[in-house]
Amino acid sequence: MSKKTGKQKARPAPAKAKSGGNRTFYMVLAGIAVVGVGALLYAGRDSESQSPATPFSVADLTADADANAGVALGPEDAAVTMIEFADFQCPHCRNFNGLTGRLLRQNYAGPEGPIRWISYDFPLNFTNSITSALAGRCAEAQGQFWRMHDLLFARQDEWGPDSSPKDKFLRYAEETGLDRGEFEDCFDERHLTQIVASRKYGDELGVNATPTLFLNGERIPLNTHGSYQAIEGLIQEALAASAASAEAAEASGQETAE
Amino acid sequence: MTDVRRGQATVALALIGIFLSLYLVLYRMGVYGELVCGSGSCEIVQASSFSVFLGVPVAAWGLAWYLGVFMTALLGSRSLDTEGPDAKWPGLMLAVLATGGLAFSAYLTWIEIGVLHAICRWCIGSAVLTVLIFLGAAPWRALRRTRMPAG
Repeated sequence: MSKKTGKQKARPAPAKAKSGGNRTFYMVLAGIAVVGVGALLYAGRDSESQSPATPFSVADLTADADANAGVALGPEDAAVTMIEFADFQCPHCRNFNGLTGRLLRQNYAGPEGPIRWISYDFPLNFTNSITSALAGRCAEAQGQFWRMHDLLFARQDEWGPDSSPKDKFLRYAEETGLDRGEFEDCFDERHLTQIVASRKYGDELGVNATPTLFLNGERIPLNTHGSYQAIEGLIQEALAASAASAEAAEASGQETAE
Repeated sequence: MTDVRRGQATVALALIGIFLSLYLVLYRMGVYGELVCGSGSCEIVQASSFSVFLGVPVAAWGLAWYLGVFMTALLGSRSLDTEGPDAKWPGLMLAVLATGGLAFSAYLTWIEIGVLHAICRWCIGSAVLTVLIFLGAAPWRALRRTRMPAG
């Protein structure tokens, strides 16, 4: 009984403490909410997953747009083709190619396909956009474009700020097993035509940012670039559609023969 | 720590979890082009077939779970405030939610380590929150209370 009385007497003090405690609790919740919303907004500040295209001074170069100016991976007769316009110095291209692009190529654009992946240079106006594109082309001249492609993106932070990154590219060439001398000799204007033709082809297709992807000619919406599964879903849909149309064509061919 | 304090701590942890899982849900929806992951392997985990459970992204399950824990703990704290220790339902509901969440989180962590060999920092962060929520919910206490005779 006395214990109960004691408790009753003590009630007002805990009530005050409770009110203070609740205030602290709601302040903590408000703090978490503010930080959380701020973090989500901050993460979304770059939600545009592409680098905007800016005028590039190649207008005086005479190369015409050329659909064959890209570097391809996967079988030539693949029913589904993914084309990508990218700049080695574009951070969004690096982010995309760091994992999503690399995994997609690994899983879908192997020697047996099922898709063909074509990479086109779309140099923007970064300091080393053209030089890095040349590095890619010179690696391609020795059959190692994709290794150099992955290395350039992986080390973008290293060579990107460099006003003269050629030495670094020569080192990368050695690392990827290329002939350094041949690579160095290649490093002149001879591939510039392909780069410009590639860029102009992108311009013709209405590319205005990088990376830009087209799957069987259909532009992939920007907001799916970061998502492996979203793009994989589109690839699978395209593969299924092409298989269905091949079956339909075969059936109609059989009917005609009968 | 009193039941009310424990409940409030659970509310705060669940709110952190809501933002964490919301970030992953928004990423899945394509709102964010990339995940901020440092040297982790978030995208490998997020791109794996294990990132979907019963046709729904795991991140969305996580968001629903955190919302459930948040609401239960918040309403539960208020019930404890008004009804005192007699309010048994918050503890019981939290215990059930926390145990289920812990089991699912343990399964996902095992998938990351044992199957995918890739660690997503956000998933680990969520696993830590789940463990803390489980410890806060203290299912063993709720169980003991339900066994105690009334009065």
